[in-house]
Amino acid sequence: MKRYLTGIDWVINSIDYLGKSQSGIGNVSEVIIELQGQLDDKILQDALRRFLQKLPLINGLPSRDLNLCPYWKVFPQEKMLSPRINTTHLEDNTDSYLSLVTQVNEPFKNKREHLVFNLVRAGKRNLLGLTFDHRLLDARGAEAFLDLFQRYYQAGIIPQVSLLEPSRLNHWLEKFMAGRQVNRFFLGLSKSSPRILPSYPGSRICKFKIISFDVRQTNHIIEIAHEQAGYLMLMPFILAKTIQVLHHVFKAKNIPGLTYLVPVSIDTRTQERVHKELFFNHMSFFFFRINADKAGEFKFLVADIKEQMYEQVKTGLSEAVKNASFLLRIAPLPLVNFFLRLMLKKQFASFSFSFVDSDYNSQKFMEEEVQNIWHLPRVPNPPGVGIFFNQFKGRINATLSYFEGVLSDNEVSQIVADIDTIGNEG
Amino acid sequence: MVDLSAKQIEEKLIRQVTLILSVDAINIKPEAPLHTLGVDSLSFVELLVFIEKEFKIKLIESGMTWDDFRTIHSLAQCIAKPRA
Repeated sequence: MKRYLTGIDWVINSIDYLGKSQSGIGNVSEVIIELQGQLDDKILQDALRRFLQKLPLINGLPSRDLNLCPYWKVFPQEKMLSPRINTTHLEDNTDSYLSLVTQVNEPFKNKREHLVFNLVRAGKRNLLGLTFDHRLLDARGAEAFLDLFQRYYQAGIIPQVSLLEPSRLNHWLEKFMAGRQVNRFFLGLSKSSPRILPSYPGSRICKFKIISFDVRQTNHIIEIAHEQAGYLMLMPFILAKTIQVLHHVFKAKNIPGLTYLVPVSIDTRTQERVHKELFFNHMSFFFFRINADKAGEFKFLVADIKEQMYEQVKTGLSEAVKNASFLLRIAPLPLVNFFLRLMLKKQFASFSFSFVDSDYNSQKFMEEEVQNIWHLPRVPNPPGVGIFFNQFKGRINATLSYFEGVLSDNEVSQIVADIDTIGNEG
Repeated sequence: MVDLSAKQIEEKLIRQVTLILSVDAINIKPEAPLHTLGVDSLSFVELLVFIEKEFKIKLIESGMTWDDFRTIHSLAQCIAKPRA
């Protein structure tokens, strides 16, 4: 069986290639579920084994068809690998989070392994981490995948998941027109001289800091977002705050450049669609270019972000990016990387950012109540730093993800403190 | 200038919201605040772009307030109002 890869899938494969060529670790992330009670190791392992046996695509591989279109090659069920489920028992919860971070900085054992489960039992606290290959799942898909497991665990059957994706070797004129639009847009971006933190390509270790807002703080953030950015403008508000927070760091480090360039991954699918098409990548991107001299002015930032967002929706840029990326599929991954770097003169972004809603719908995982969900994405390097927001059960979480050497401990503490302030602003 | 009644505009807006959110029209209540329908920053901007294109309204110059954007019903009422 084969599932053709889309252009966006191929871009994600290219980022994976870049990561592996730099550090041996690809485009990897981890989604973590915090549970109220204790999971039974044995029951968890048995249930996961039964569940994963029904999904042979999790051991697939990117391959290339006779028509030159890349596809995900799925091996027969009997050739499936045993799933890896690591269990760590700790006396207390001091190191529970560190133990999960370790998994994101380890390469998969072989080319067909794309998922690893990590159960950490730390005192009364149970954390289940799913380390996943971004070539197989995106962030929303990873949450939906765990939700799929929960539904399988409860009902014993796997709801239908669509794996159909045609080769899309047609409508070339449309794709070329989209390519022209994106190329012109990128040419404009490449002239903007963005501020970029010095990169450490040899750095292998990605570090994380998590900031969790409680329900009261989250409601407060939504309220001030409404007041300061407008109705339903939570994402632009959070992005503006993030730019301000990182602007202090760039400024203190005297990083040269005229703008901040921020790619933002977006996914307009409804929860229902995410659950039907949970594998592979379905997002596109917005690109925000902010005048660095004005990054300290919050009102300007919010207005500028809203205007750029409006323009990009109006011109259909994110759709054009999706369409244009199909043209890249013909090229092998080293060449795609070369093109992407050339287009932006090696200056991809000042930092990465995303803001996603939850796609874990169940209240429980196995029999235990889910308290919270966070993500630990290895940010691409460059830019080597990113802030990623997610929402679960009326709470906002933020993850600062950065490569060792890119930020000092003091800078990290400052960023964490500044983000934390958003939940308590008067 | 919009030559449609508020009801016709409301129907057009409902159709567009169902497209943006990929939901059935039956789930879209015109009186419900947009955030309760699942509209977020991005889908809201998509709706604004649709309104500008479809009804030839320059939103910035339209004098519309945030209250006009609360529900599909209030939006339709506001778009249908004659403008100078």
